[in-house]
Amino acid sequence: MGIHKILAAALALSTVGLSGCTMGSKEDKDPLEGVNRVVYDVNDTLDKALIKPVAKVYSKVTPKGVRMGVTNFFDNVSYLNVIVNDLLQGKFRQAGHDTGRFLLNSTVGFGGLFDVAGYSGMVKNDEDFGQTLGKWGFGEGAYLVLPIRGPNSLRDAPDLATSWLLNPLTYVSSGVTIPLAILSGVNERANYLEATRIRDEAALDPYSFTREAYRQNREYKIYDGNPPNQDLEYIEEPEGVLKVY
Amino acid sequence: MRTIRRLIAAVALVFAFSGALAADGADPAAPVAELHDALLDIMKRAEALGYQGRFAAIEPVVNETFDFPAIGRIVMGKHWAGLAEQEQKGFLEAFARLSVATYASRFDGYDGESFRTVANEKQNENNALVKTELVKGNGETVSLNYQLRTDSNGKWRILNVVADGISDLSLKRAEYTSIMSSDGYAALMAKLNAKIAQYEADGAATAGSGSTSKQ
Repeated sequence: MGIHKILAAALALSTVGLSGCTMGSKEDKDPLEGVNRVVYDVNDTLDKALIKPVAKVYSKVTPKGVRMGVTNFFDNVSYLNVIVNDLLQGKFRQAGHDTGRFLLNSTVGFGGLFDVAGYSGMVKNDEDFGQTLGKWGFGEGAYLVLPIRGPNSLRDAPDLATSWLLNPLTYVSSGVTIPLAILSGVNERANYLEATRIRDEAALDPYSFTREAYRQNREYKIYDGNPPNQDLEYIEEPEGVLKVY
Repeated sequence: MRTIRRLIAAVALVFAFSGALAADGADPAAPVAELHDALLDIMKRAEALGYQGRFAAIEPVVNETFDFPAIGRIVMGKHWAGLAEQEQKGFLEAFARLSVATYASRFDGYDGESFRTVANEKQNENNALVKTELVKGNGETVSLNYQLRTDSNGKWRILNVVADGISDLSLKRAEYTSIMSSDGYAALMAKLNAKIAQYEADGAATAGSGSTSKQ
């Protein structure tokens, strides 16, 4: 019963926030930039003070195979979300493929620790509810920077709720899930150490760098690697819509 | 008689064909290949050259293969028109310098890398997309798609590099217009010059480490 309410709320939030937004309208609009920058700075401070150092130690201390296993486990446990969103996007064959992948890794792969399906050549897909909404024609809504989680958007945020609901770990006692969630967070941060290092080195304005990279990555994912408008004619100088892929 | 006609036809065909080739002009893949060759060169001689040497070696190639005046205008967005001519010039110089510095800093060692051209698509007379891959020593690939446009002399030059789906032009445009809007020209120039100085300092500090970890 509570679950239904949450789902309904998530869907309502997404549609209300996105009504009237046209497909792919992004440019440099950032209506919540003031708040976002504040949260970004807080996240950055927290990251530098606590999360990154922990992730660095974790990365140094943990053998690569173990880190791989941890990554595989959490990827697998959240894979039901991929399957459901495959179906919602009408990607039925992919849903079948992904179900097979999930079953194989969960059984032969010792509860997801080993990516057996990956070794057998089965591609790992990336779908979430935000991508589904994007596929259905919803624009970003508004760019958001969430505490700790970082870049997100009005369209992509509901996936936090739906993916949480579709994660089997959610239904296990919190004595187990909380440490696991921390492990998942640290592991993921460790996986992104190189990327953030490059960003910190290259970016003149890390906030807008992150925002732009996030948006491009979302477009890329929604269109499964083939975003539209790859024509150079869209590069107009000095103003105009810049849609460059 | 028939043979002569055939001969004339054949000769005419050759001229027509070569005329078409001449009109086709240079290949958009040429500047990309030139850039890649130069990058491989500085990678292989990275330690011997050091940061300064790599910078000096790659600078002419980067300035020739990239169309910085056009890129600079795009990257400034609506702020370009409001700048004085001196300011525009100053910005373009710093921007080009930063781009060269980035290459000189990143490509600081050789570990079996190679570049592979995947596709070469001309979208119309003035725009082309050359898709390539950087193949690292361990087999991992980074996709590098170059968007090229003919400049005022009809020469193909790089306008944008899309690395693994991320457009460098869009990234820079988002950053620079944001800085211009909130802090202005002087602040942007200060940041550009600070970055260049940082690359130089890092280059001097890590002289001799020669790894490709920064790629």
